[in-house]
Amino acid sequence: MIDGIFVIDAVAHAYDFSDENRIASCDPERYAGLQHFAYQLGHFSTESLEPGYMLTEKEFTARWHAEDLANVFFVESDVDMIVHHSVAISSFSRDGVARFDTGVELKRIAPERVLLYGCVDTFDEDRGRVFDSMERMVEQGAVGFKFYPSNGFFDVSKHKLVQMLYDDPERAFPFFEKARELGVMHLAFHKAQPVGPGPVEAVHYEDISTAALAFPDMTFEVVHAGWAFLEEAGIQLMLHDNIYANLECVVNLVVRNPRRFAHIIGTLLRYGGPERILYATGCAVNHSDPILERFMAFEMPGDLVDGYGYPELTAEVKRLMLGANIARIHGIDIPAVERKISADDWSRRRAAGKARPWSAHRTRLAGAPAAS
Amino acid sequence: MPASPQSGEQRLQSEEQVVGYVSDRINEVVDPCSRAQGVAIGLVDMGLVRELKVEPEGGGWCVRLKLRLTSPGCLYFVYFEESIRERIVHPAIKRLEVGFDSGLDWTPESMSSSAQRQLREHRARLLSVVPPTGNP
Repeated sequence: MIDGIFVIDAVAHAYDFSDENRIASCDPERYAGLQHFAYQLGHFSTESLEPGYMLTEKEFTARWHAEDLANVFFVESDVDMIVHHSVAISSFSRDGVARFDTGVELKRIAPERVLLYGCVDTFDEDRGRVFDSMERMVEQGAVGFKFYPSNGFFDVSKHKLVQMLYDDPERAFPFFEKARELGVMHLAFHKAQPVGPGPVEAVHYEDISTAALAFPDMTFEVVHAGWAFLEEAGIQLMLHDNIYANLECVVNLVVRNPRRFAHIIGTLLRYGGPERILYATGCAVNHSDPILERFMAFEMPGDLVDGYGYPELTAEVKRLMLGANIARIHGIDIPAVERKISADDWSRRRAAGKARPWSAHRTRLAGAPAAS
Repeated sequence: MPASPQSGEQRLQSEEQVVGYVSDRINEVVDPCSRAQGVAIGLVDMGLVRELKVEPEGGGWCVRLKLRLTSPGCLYFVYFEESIRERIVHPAIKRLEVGFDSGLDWTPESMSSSAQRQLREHRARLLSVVPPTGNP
């Protein structure tokens, strides 16, 4: 809770870029390249420069444990709930670069505070196996599914990245139908941020528009909306009531490049309005606390209001983006959750004051027992 | 003295001429994300040239270029460098250094006024087909 606003971070990631998670078929040198890329461009380029926040590459790529990630959100920050997105990139990692099993553990240790989105590996040619995996994840509490448009392989024969477009009735729609059959109506898609060397169609938004029209009873979150193809992201919100802009990583720009963030959020608000924009950081990619603090303090620059017609970010707009919108999607009764978590272990620890950045993760890596 | 150009090649006898030549070639390289948006914008007009330094070297010129990316995670830097090197081939240019700035401070205002106008017109075209009530 910050300034009386209930905060739900719509994307948390329990990363595991550790050496132990490298799949045997992935060349160690290639894997090291991925580790470095994830650190350099995921963490280093957008992390707060205030003391204590910048992780070393070793700290960032180490496996993130549930207790330590929960500590970041609920003790080191003012976040009340998170949506954990797991991500499977089968060409690199054995257990996923953001692990579902760690998400399940997060939900076990903070049951009222965690929602789970399970990863769907659409590149597994055994569709029955993927469906079985989706069923198991729902049994373990998944209320949404996360899709990633490439598995990281480059198909030399086609001279393009192996990719999935979600407007394909034969390749993509069966996964949405399976989700619906399982009662899962919320789908999220990595978009806008490159997943490999060209072409850009895999991370463009157009296919999601088609899917949203074909499945009007389901919600489609475009993750990283506005990071690229900004105008299309805004206009897509205008056109499709069941598409949501998920700001994972986009909102992180507010820390070191607030003017860039102003253009993105201004455009999305101007076209899409405040009710379908979801605050999300992707933490542990960056620490959640500086982002939340800067977001709360953020005001749309006057010259951009005058020159571009961007709306102001009022307290009400922030309230919607910070939690009310994602709560509405999932039918979360915020006052009821507030009551339930007010006396949980995380609230008790937070009441003692914010812990130092990444404290539990660093303590674990240093070999000492993590803070209890 | 700068090397003599072959027949038909642009003469590069002053710093200004070199900067003009290099900028024109760089701007021939289209930003792939702008192309995906339906508006092909060159790297100079995108505001991706952070620094362009030219100095005499070996009877010709040394060009030092620093580019910036629109956002962290952009994987097209390899394509940018390759495409630029393919285009900047001139006997008077003895050395071309291409680097990338890590400032990551690009905003839409970094684009040239003509690129901003192109995007505004593109946006207007998109909006002209949006039904006033939202869903078609």
